Amino acid sequence: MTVYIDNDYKCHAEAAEGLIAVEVPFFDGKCKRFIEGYRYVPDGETWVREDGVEFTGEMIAPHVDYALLAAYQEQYAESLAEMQDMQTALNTLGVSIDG
Amino acid sequence: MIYVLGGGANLNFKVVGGTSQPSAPAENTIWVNTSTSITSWVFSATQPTSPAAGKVWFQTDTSSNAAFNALKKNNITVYPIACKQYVSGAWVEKDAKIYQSGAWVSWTYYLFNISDQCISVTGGWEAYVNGVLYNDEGYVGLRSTGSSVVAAVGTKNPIDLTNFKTLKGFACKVYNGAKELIGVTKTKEAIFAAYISPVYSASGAFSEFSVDVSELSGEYYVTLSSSASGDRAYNRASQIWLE
Repeated sequence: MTVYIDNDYKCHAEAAEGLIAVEVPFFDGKCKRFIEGYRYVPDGETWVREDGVEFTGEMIAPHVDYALLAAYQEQYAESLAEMQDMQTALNTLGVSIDG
Repeated sequence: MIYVLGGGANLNFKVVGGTSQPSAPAENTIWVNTSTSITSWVFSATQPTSPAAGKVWFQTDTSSNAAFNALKKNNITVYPIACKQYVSGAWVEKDAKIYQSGAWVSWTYYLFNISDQCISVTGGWEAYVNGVLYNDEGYVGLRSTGSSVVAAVGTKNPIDLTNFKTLKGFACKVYNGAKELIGVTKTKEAIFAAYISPVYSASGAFSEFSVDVSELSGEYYVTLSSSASGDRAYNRASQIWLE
């Protein structure tokens, strides 16, 4: 999945000025809130944490409480499952919407 | 400059600060490698609040490779895992060692150390899914049991990351794939909460790695993954520890 990183290596789900696009399979199927709780450091680049510790990529790590990100992703998955159920039901009933 | 803070009449250890390792130390001499005067020290599992400048915090846990009896006559076992000093308004990591049985022992929270699986902390290392565990030749590693099948090996016990900020070690991958990772997972499978991809080395030369786990609290497994099959450990680490 393509995500976008800023100059602090924080991930964004949408392109914007100043962001760099990177392909990160880890984010396949992940919701926006999950993605934007992570930092991704590409191979060969280095991020320096505020205490001076250096992290050289490729590294992926949350910058937001992971328990929160996991909860967001779980809600997203449940919503997707509900939508799929509804679509399946509509298909079964032969209901479609034409523009 | 060497700073000495005695352990007291009934204590079985002594804290020494300074930039030169003490010569001829007594058993359980704790040396903090620092150029800042140690004004006081405390052993605690949680970070002290409102510390004075120069205070040393010896972080403790329920397991340590440098455990010692703190008392001369009775027994209170202390499990130190890290050392920090309050310098210029911030806690700064300091290297600490304790002199035991004729040798200096580092306070590093090892999860794997050359051939030591650090069983008292990890419970040992095991294959999780689809993988073969290697624990010989001075490293822990794995290969997949099937071509392009993602395999995982890791600690038997989950590790509480709450008081740690960084997963560090020396690792390499001898297969330059995208699934050869080291990091932490919530379950015993290759679904990482945080990871790094080790440096590739066909010859098996290890490089230092660091993973930021500062935003993780609670228990996680320390895990290696690989999707390469064959008869070698394609992703391997010689040392893994937490800071």
